[in-house]
Amino acid sequence: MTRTETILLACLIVLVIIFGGVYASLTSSINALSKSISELSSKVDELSGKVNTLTGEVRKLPEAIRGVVPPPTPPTPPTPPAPPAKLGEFHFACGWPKPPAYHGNPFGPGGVGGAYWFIYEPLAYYIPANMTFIKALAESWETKDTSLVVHLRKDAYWHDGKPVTSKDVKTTWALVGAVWARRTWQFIKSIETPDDYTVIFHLTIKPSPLLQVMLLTQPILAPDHIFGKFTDRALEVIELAKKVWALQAAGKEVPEDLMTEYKDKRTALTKDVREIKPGLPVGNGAFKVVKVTETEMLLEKFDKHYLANKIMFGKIRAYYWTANEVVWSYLMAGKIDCAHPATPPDVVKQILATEPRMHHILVTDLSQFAIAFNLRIKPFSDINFRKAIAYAVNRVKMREVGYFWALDTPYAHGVLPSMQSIWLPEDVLAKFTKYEYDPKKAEEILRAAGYKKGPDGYWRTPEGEVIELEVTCPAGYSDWVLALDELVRQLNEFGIKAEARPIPNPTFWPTAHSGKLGMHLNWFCGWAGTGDPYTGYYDLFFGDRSKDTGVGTGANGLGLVNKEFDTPWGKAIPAELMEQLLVETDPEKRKEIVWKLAYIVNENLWEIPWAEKRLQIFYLDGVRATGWPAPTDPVWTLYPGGAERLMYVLITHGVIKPVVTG
Amino acid sequence: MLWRIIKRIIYAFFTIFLSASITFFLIYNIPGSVVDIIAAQLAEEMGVPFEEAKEIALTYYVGYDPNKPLLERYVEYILNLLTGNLGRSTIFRVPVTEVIVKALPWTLFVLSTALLTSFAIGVLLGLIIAWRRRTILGPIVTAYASFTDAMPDFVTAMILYIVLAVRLKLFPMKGAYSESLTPGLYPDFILSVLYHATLPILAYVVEHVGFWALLMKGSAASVLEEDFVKAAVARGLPERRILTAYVGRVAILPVAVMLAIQLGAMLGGSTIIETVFNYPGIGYFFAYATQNLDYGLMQGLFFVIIVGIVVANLVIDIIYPLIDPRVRREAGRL
Repeated sequence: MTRTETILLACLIVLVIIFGGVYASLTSSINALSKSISELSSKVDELSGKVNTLTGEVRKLPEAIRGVVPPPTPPTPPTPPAPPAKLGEFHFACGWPKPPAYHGNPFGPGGVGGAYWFIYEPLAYYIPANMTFIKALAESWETKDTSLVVHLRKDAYWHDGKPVTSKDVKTTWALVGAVWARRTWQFIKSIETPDDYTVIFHLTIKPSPLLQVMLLTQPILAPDHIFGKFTDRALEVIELAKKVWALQAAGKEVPEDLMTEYKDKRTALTKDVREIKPGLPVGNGAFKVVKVTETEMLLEKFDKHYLANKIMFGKIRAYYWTANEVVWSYLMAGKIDCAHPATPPDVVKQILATEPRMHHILVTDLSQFAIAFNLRIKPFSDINFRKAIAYAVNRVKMREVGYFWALDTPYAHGVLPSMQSIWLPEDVLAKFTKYEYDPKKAEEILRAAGYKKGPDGYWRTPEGEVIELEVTCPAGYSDWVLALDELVRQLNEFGIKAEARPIPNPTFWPTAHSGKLGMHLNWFCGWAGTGDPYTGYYDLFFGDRSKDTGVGTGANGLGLVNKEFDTPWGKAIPAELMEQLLVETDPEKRKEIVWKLAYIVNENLWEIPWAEKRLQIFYLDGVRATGWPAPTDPVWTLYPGGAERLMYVLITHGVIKPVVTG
Repeated sequence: MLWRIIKRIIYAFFTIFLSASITFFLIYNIPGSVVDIIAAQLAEEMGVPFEEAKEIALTYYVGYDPNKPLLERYVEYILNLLTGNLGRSTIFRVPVTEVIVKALPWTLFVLSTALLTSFAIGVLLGLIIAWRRRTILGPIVTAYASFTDAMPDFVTAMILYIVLAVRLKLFPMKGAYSESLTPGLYPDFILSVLYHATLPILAYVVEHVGFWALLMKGSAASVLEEDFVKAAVARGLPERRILTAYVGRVAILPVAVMLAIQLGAMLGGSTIIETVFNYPGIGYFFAYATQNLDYGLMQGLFFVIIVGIVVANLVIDIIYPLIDPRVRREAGRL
């Protein structure tokens, strides 16, 4: 061989070795994975056991904590040790508008991305699992008749050095009301700012605990010195919005000129607000954004923050959340400290095996998945048909196929299964119908209602028509698509001709809201934001779900929300119960209202839940950060609807600390 | 000769025009709508009904009127191209050229390095295995090429990523350079750029070396049968001289044409490799534009690729007769 040949051969051998090594490594990984699959079920059982214990622990929380809305004074956070000389770095994953689109305006398209909870603080944080507040920009607050008076802390600053004042609170509320159409404004008459550090919310009703949660947990994100020029216009838009909402709620037609004026003014305002592009956001949180690229966002500690001396992390590094698969690789490599990608059991196993310091816990997402019906059309308008579906479909199987880590429920009452014991005692629950998988019972119900099974094995309506269903779901939700296939398979097995049709997300929701879908997979009674059943029932009776099913009022609604229903506790109208639930301050009385609502929802089966979504939270202990709270700690319920909110609270209160090296 | 070049340039313009027109119509026939995507986002952000969000999206965000006849939009697009305006990105809300200028240097750096490296190694390997047919090197290279050819790009990229970046943590998992550095011409930054580019380059080289080797082997094998090679052997010329000055010089011509085309196509980036390694080149933005149905950006990027390929072909057309006398003679007869 010549020298050239030898060199070339050497190069080739190197390439083959690299490739071979890589291939061998992958093969060994696959083998290891295959071996571990057999261990998986035991691990999963173990995990389920732990989760059950967790649920049990939460349920055992003293009634005094769970049932009573706490006074405004929050628990004293643990005193952290003095910050080390060298501050730590915390990593997580999130999304943001990629540069050059990044603008730094929270009202702009895509907002400020995952930095949101690190850079904007609310007046207070609320922990749904134990119904307590953690104070943030508010130093204290009190209720006075139909007002909520909030006293701001005097040592909070915006990242450009200006103090946070009551005007900032007013401007924020004006803009979230006008630009984001925040419906909380239907209970706000006006916002008064008697001095720089006092805000008075004048309300249309008494400031119930639920309303306090709504008002106090809104992040203050619009500095008056930047957005203040829009406040008056925003308030004008809100007044128009209130008129529109009131007419819509009463099921009345909104005059065209009113609607046009509202839309035009709102659109023009939105456009002008979005024109503001500071580049990097001006926040008031303990961290400020200093750099944004396509793949990484860097935040640094804000030294003027009132908790600065307690914070032991100097930098927060965010990796771009391209896809769950990418986040899995970050977790395996120990690159991020906390994330919640939906992850199948085998991948969970692989992540935990690759990075032993990684932990995996399940926390309710405060949301539920359901089989929903368009009640305007046959056969879904028939309660017997809906009941038959509830018994004919094995929803546990759907959950196993679609979202393994979710929680099952044999009920359809709308209260989250994980919160069921708090709101619905056993004796109350005993009055509710349980819908467990029982195909024989489903057949009996259908036959009693006049449905017949033909010689071809398919069910026919009382009118003799073969039942043929097209069952839909958003195509972008891969877990729902899997569950949909399972649902359709089971329906066909039961004798109902069904076909699955996932619809692209942008088309699915508008089609659902316009009442054009039949049987479909949908959200059901989610409590995100407040951790309160009111939020879930609001969505079912007045929100998007009311449009999808037809439960609500309006031109396309059946008005079931205003219908009288029988309950074991007397007759009741959902709309009236909702009003009572909103204003009632006595926790026990609130529970009694929930019993009635839950009973109505359970017995009418407008939607049949097949899973309560639980977030799979991965956290890395001992690499960059340590001191994570126990999996049973109620603080984890800050995570749903704001993963970074929990990370922020833990970091700023010194709960998690940097790992000391060297 | 001059007339021939002018003719080629005219053909090139025509090809660009035709390809740009076809891609325009193809892009606008992709199922789904960017208006719906933005409207869905706005509806969620603003809490407004979808139809209202759609109106807002059309008025302020989309940058074109979907109700305008397609032909009218096409004329507008072509006129814009003539003035150097590649359009506007719907998602990034900036001119397409801004995105291209930002991403192109990374793509050019990674792909040109990878392409030229894989070309150099592949061509030499191909030449050797064509010349020395009875050595073990031939079957090894052929097996390697068959294996990498059968293996999709993304699998190779994922394997390298998982093993070298995730498991062994030898290489970074994302980006073109360390975010803690400010871009500039200083050693730390340059080293960081090289470090971040290693895996994407390696993935490309591993995947393409075999291709170039087989291409060169095929080309060289046919040249080896030529009389001038036999004559050179009979004259007792050194092996290396025959291989480089006789066989290599002729056999490389068709392979070089392929290289030129690949260099042109390189402007489009390598979507899969850049996406797997989170490398912010043209391919990365291409994938992002496709996911979000950003017609403006897709059109702009397609146009850049078309121009790249056509110009590469034009250059080859013009210089090929200069380096290959046989083609010069053929061209002379035409």
